Amino acid sequence: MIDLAAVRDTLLAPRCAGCGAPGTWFCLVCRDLCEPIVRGRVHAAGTYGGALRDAIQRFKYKGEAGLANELGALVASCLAADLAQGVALDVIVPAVLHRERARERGYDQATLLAEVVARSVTLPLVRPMRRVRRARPQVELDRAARAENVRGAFISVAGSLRGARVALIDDVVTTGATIAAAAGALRAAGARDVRAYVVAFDE
Amino acid sequence: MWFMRFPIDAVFVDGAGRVVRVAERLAPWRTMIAARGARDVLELPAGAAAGTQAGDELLFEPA
Repeated sequence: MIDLAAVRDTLLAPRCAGCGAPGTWFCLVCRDLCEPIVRGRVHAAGTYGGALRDAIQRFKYKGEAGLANELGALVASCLAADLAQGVALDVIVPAVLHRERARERGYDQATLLAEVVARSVTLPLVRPMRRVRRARPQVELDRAARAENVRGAFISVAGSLRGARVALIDDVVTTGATIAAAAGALRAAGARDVRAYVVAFDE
Repeated sequence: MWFMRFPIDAVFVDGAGRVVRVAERLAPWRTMIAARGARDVLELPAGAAAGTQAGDELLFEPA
C-alpha cells in the first residue's frame, strides 16, 4: 500500500499550520497548546481558535486532507484518555458529511479523522450512517421548516449498533445540533452509549 | 446542558420505505429505541415527524 502521508511529505515540504515551523503539518508545540474540553458527552481536543482554527480551516477548506493525521491524533488522545480511565467503547463512527459536499471537497473530513482515530486506538471503524435530504417540495414548507429541510438528516441501518458503545467522530461542534442529531441516529440504531470526540468546540 | 436542547424524532422504515414506527421528541444522547421489522431509521429535528405515521411511505434522497 502506498503511504500517502510519505508521498505528500515528499512532494510538499511540511510546515506547521499553527506556527509555520518546518517538518510537520501541525507541530507538537502547537498541539500542546490545545486544552481539551468536555461538555457532557462531547469531548473536544481544544477550542476553535488560534493555531487549531488555522489547521482545521486548511483541513476543511484548502484541500489539505493530510492534516487528518495530526488532527486525528489530537482526537485520539482525548479518546485514549477516556479509555485509560475505564470508559468502555466498542466502535468508532464518523459523523459523515453529505455525499455531495464530500464530492465537491474530494473527501469527507469526519471519515478521514475517524480512520486515523480507529487506527490509533485499535477500535473498529464502522459507517452505519449516511445523510439524506427530505424530498418534500420546499414550497410546502414555512421558513423554519425550510431551514430544517436544508439541514438534512442522518439515516442509519436499524439495529446495526445493537448494544454497542460508540465513539462518534467529527471536526467542529458549534451549536451541537448536528452532533446531537448524529448521536440520536446512533441510539436509534441500537447503540447502548454514544460519546462524541471532536477536534474543536466553536463557542 | 447546552447540547441537550436538540430533541429529535425517529422514523423507522422497512425495506419498502414504509414507516413502521414513529418516536417523537427523544433526548438524542439518552434514549435507545428500536422497531421490529425496520431496515433504516431516520432522525429528524423534533416536530418534523409530526403527522407521519406507521404505514406512510417515505421519500428521501441522498444529500
